[in-house]
Amino acid sequence: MTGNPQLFKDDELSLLETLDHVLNRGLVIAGEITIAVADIDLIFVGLNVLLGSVETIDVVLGKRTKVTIEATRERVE
Amino acid sequence: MNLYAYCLSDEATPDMIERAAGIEGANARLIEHESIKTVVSDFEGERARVTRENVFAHESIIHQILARTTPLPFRFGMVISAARLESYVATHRHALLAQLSRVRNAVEMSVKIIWDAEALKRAAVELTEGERIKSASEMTGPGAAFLAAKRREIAGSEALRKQGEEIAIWLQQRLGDTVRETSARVCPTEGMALAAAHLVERARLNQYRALIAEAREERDDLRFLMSGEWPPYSFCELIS
Repeated sequence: MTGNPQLFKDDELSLLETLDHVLNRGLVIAGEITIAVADIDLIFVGLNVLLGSVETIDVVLGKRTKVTIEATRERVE
Repeated sequence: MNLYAYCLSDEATPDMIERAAGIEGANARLIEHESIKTVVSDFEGERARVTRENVFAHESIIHQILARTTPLPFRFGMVISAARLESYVATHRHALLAQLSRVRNAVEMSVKIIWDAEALKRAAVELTEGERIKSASEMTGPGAAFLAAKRREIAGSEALRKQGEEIAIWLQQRLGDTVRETSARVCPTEGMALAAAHLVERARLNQYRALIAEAREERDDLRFLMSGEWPPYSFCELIS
């Protein structure tokens, strides 16, 4: 494949993979997950050079926002 | 005082997490409701901070359980009252036990396949142009040029999607019955052909890794990022 094969550093890849799993997947009890979007922004600082990380951030933030909104809606209803 | 919940298991025992420090340094422990154990730690407040330390603490606690048995991992941030957790387990007991049976003796492996998307799109557009699409430079007027560019973009995206699907099928065939279940996203981003999670029996992990290595050898035009073993994050569809 063309391109830089050393695009990832091991520790960054490890963190990105961990984030991809723990923030984006797993068992959810509706209405109980509340994470500040601002907090997520902090942990991604320095990761935006990684291939796909910007898109991953968008996906994670999008879903997280959706979960929070849905959770809030459930409590209101 | 709330609880921070890490995972559920019907086989976890206290020695698996002895003196294990979890979120914000609090010790992890087990609480049991109707034969289902939840790994928790005490938690002050309503919201877990997403810090590097907390994310790794969350994953570390679950990995200690995973070293001995396969739990159902909670997503990061599961802060809950003891009463609410007990109610959840009681309400969903049968579904949770079914989920635990589904993932028993297995772990999740993650494979991301990265490609040179720009080169693939260029090749696809060149092919398509040869048949019917005029290049933007041959068109007259800004509207026509815009439409031509849009058609090129769509042709490139469609080509990527088609090739991503072919890669997903190819990988699935290479892995065969080594994987118990697959959860895959084709072209989750433009730079990624495939993001797949595989549920693999522990006894077949070496075979799985060997097959991924063979696949990697076969397709040197692609880049493979394999990680694991993970708790079965992608195989916990139970939504309350």
